[in-house]
Amino acid sequence: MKPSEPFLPEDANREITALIQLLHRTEQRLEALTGGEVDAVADQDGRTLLLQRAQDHQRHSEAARQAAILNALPAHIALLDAQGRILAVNQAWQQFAGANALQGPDYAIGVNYLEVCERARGDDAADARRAAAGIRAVLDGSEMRFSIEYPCHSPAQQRWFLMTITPLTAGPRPNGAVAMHLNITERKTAELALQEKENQLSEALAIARIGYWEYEYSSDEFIFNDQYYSLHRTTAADAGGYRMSSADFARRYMYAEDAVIVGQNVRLAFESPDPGYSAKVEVRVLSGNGDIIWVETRINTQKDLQGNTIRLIGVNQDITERKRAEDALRESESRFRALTEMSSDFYWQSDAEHRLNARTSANETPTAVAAFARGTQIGKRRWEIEHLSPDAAGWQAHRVMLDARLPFRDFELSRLGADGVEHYISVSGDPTFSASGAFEGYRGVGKDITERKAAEQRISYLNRVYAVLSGINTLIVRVHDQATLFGEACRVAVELGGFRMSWIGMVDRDATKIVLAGSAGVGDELLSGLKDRFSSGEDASLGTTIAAEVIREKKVIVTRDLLDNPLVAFGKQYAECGIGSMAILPLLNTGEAVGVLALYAEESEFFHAGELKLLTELAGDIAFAIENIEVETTLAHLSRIQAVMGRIGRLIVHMRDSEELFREACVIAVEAGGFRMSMLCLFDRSTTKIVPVASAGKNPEVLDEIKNALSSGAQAANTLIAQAIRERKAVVANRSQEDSRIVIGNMAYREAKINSIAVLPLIVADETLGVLVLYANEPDFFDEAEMTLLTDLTDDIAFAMDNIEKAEKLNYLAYYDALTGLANRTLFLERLAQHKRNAVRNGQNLALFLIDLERFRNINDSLGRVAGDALLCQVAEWLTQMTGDASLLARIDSDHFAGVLPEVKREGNVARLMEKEVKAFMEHPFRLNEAIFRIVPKIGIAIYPGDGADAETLFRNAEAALKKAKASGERYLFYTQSMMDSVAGKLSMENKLRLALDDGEFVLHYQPKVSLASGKLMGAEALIRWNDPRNGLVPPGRFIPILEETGLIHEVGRWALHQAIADYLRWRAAGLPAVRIAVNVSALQLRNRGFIEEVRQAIGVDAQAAAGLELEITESLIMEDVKGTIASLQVIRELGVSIAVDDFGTGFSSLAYLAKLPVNTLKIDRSFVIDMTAGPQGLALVSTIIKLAHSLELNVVAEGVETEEQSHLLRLLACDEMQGFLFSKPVPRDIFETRFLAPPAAAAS
Amino acid sequence: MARRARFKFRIYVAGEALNSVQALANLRSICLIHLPNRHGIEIVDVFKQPERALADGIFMTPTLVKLSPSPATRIVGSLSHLPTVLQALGLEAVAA
Repeated sequence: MKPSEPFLPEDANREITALIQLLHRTEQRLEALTGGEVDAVADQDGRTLLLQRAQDHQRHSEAARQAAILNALPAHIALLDAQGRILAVNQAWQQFAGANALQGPDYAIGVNYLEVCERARGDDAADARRAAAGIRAVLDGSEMRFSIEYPCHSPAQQRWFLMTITPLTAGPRPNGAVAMHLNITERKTAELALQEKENQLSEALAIARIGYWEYEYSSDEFIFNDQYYSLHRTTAADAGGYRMSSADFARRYMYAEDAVIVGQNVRLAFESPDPGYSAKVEVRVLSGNGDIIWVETRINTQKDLQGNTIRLIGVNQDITERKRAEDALRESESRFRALTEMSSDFYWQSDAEHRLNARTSANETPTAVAAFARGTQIGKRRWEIEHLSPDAAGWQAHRVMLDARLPFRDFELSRLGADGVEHYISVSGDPTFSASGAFEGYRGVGKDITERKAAEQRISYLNRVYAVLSGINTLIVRVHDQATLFGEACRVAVELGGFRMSWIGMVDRDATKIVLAGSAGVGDELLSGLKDRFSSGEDASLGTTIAAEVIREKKVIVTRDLLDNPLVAFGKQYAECGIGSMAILPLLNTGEAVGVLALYAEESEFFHAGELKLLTELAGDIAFAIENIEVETTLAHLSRIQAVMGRIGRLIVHMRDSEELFREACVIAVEAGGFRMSMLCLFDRSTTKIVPVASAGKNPEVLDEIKNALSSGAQAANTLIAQAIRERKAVVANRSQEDSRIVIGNMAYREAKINSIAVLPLIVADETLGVLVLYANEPDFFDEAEMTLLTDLTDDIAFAMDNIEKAEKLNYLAYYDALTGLANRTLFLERLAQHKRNAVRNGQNLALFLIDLERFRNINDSLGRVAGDALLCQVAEWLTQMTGDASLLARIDSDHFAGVLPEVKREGNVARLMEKEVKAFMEHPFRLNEAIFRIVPKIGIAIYPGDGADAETLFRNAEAALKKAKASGERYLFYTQSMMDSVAGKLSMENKLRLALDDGEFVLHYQPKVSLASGKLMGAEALIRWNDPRNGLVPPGRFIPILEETGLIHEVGRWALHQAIADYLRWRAAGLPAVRIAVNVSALQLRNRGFIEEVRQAIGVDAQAAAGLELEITESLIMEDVKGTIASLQVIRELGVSIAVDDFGTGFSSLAYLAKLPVNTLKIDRSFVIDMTAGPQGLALVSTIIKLAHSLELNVVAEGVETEEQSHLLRLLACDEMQGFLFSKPVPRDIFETRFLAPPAAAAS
Repeated sequence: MARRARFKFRIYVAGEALNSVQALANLRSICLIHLPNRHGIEIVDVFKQPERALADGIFMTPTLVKLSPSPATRIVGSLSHLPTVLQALGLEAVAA
């Protein structure tokens, strides 16, 4: 704008209007452009233009703020107009008017406040009217301000208000006024209290033992009051008046040690120019009779107009009591300090800002102290002190607690010690508050837990190794081929053991290279790297790897310096995988290192002696499994052949027909031997033809083809069969599909997937009678061991063929007893020889028994020969029925029979059988001439191999035994006397036990099981005892094996079951707190098909019975037949009976099976409980078992707990229950009842 | 490491105007969630320090300037649209 231009108001107005409009539009445009997101824009000069929306917001918030201020004031404020009507009120007024009973609820806007005050009635009427007058005075301008204090008591509280009226506008006649009521109750109360206090002061002086004194400078003397003297345990009269010279005072009342302090304070008071000087000092003075008294002296000064101190005024208060308390406190503090320093704990405290302001160093390990003392830690916030853990998040969580002023316990942190090792401490703290409740900080204790941490870590390491061990053991049972074993073993190490990587390398056949056989967790690149490295050795040695070193030295090597060790090729890769250490263990098989197991751990300190010991065991297990798998494969083949031999051996004994023999031999080869096919051919020497006479197998069409090829003759002479006959030697084609010697049936073999063929010649007296041909699917089936067995087999068949040939030629009578149809002596001896061959092969014993019928001659003589023959026939019949197989029996002469038991496992069984059969025989009614006869036998027994190496010797010795039996009173006798003795002992014991059961001599004793946490009785184990009236209480070890051997265990077991249930129900009925009773179940019982039914019947007596019964099954019993046991237990558990695994840990522990077992409780064997206190491994093992059981939700009972230490440890390990002498041995039922079940009162009576 | 970088912000506001208050509140909550313990906020009120805003070339408020880590970024507005803001600050990539 140019100044020279004339100023035109109209134009200017228009311009301004236009500008305003422009501005407005600009603002709107800006608003639109910025989407309402922007508050202000600045121009080039930095002037800020607030946009419309922001301005509105500002205005709004300004008004709101003012209203807020008004509302925030605690005073009740009302705006009155000139007439005294209420125009507006703040929130406080509204609340007050609403709540105040005195003023009523109708003090709302529009009411005339003047009139209300003037109309007031009651106690407050006078005050109200004075208020009204004041308001009127302000409103009419005669007063500038009016205020009045008035009481306004509510029913609950005494209250005072200050009302202030100020004019709304200054001037002669204001157009209104502001009325403000301020609650001054607190001030008023304080004032009243002060008045009250003053009145009480002198009284209080006396009561509080406060003495008053003055010291006059001018006269150098003290003036005392009565209280002062009483403080010194004296009176004014005794002291000689109320005045005393300072020298006199010093001599009489001053305590020499504190005189200096008093003197200093007096001088300071005199010299201070401050008129309000005041000092407080605690000193000792003497009483009238010389006792020391602690006083608190307060000194004030009085000055003259010039400011000189003319007089000291003071009060003394007796604080002896307080001092004593303080001393006591100090004493307890120092005791506490001593205590914390003695324990491993330290004490610490921090201020409100969490800055550490005190900490004792206590008995921490020197390095841990060094960890703390690095730098000055006092004055730092706790989280600012150098530490390794927790991380920021951990501290954050902790600080949330601190901010909430909550106490905390066992906060763990760690610091780096001077030794470079991480030290752990555990800290607890409680917040502290001042008397007024202000937060002052924290204080608490801490403890060096480095060792505990290390121990925990060690246990966790050991547990990991145990997990691997158990996993691999399970694996070994399950896996039957090496490749799977290696792969799975590595996988188990990584998955269960938490190892980073694992691999197994095997030494190859030439012992020149290590071949990777399995791995887990190893990256592909590293894996191929390892492979290359192992295969790169040029020379014949294994190379220079650590693994090679392990194989050479047959010792484990642990490596930690993975980066620096020149033998470690992949240190860098290992470091990248986070590996801190590795262990390579040799797999030793009969002293040779056959391979290595490599384990890589994240922790650099993982492999300690304990871990290595377990890992060595583990390597041993793997090596064992490697060998075992090899052996198993061989055994599987051999056992198939043995099965064939066993059956063919039995066949041969009574086979009298060649064709049948051939047919059966072929069938057995296929059925028992698992061969694909078998064929038997005879060689006709006259025609030199090979004639197939029998065959069996899954591919009859193949056999037909071969038979055709043989009979057609074109290729017959070139076959393997022809070769075997020619050479009188077995011919084997172990890779028949690639074998050029096979000239017939190649296609057919391929289709039938036949890979191995063996042709075995049947040779009698150097002459080949024929061949047995066996076809197997497996390649390489027939190796040396198999062939030896098969040669035996063909010998047997050839022998049988020869025999049959002979038999066919001989008279039937030469071999059989015409009267009874049984074999005669000759045939029996031949059969005996064959049975003996079988027994040798199967490693079994054989029993031969000869029977003589007593008084037979008498019967023959008195009843006639016909009757005698009839009796012999009946005896033969009875014997045939008894043995179930006539071929085992013979009549050897007139009244003598013979029998053979071809498979005897235990001699005791023979005795038992004889006992039983003799009894049955004697009870059997033989009918002769319409009369019943009882016949008494005498028996002589010989056992192979003990009583003779061949059939003849055996027979002779049996005859000798029979002769002896006839001469003695015994019904039967063994050839060997010692056997007789042991059998007799057992039999007498057996009889005694049988009687004991009948006479009720068995009793149940009960051993309590108690909760480790509460000590409460949880259950009882029933233990069987034999209360023998002759020998007293017999320990279970003496009779239970016999019960099991004799089968009596079934009956006794049944009795125990019923007895336990009866006892349980009786306790219930008597109102006693009955507990579940555990009854032991033996292997024989559980395997008995009727057992489940027995349990069902036993608990069937009462609906509550099942809840009172638990069955204890030993671990080894379960492992014998896992599947069968699981099935039985499942059914029993469904009945409501609970199940416990007894002696856990003693069997072949396959923890993996546990998960599948339908059991409720696991009982840790006493041997583990004993080992637990012997070392960390024992402890770790129990800990592992408990954790594992808990993870399977099993209740854990520790058996054989005998010491407090064991019980304490088990409690720490969270074991549920214990049983053992520590609490109680097994006790008779009555004692159990009174001691553990009866209520305390009853027990006391 | 980039992950641990400390964020320095400067926010220009117009007194207690609505958007400015919102922008500041939004910034604080973003920092609390995404950058706990590693951020710094400087507040410049353009009414109190207009010359500073001018010197810094700020012509609109609220304006947020991310000073570090580089590159420096400017965002104008109340910072209400969270995804956009996180993206502009380069925080989305970190969260992912």
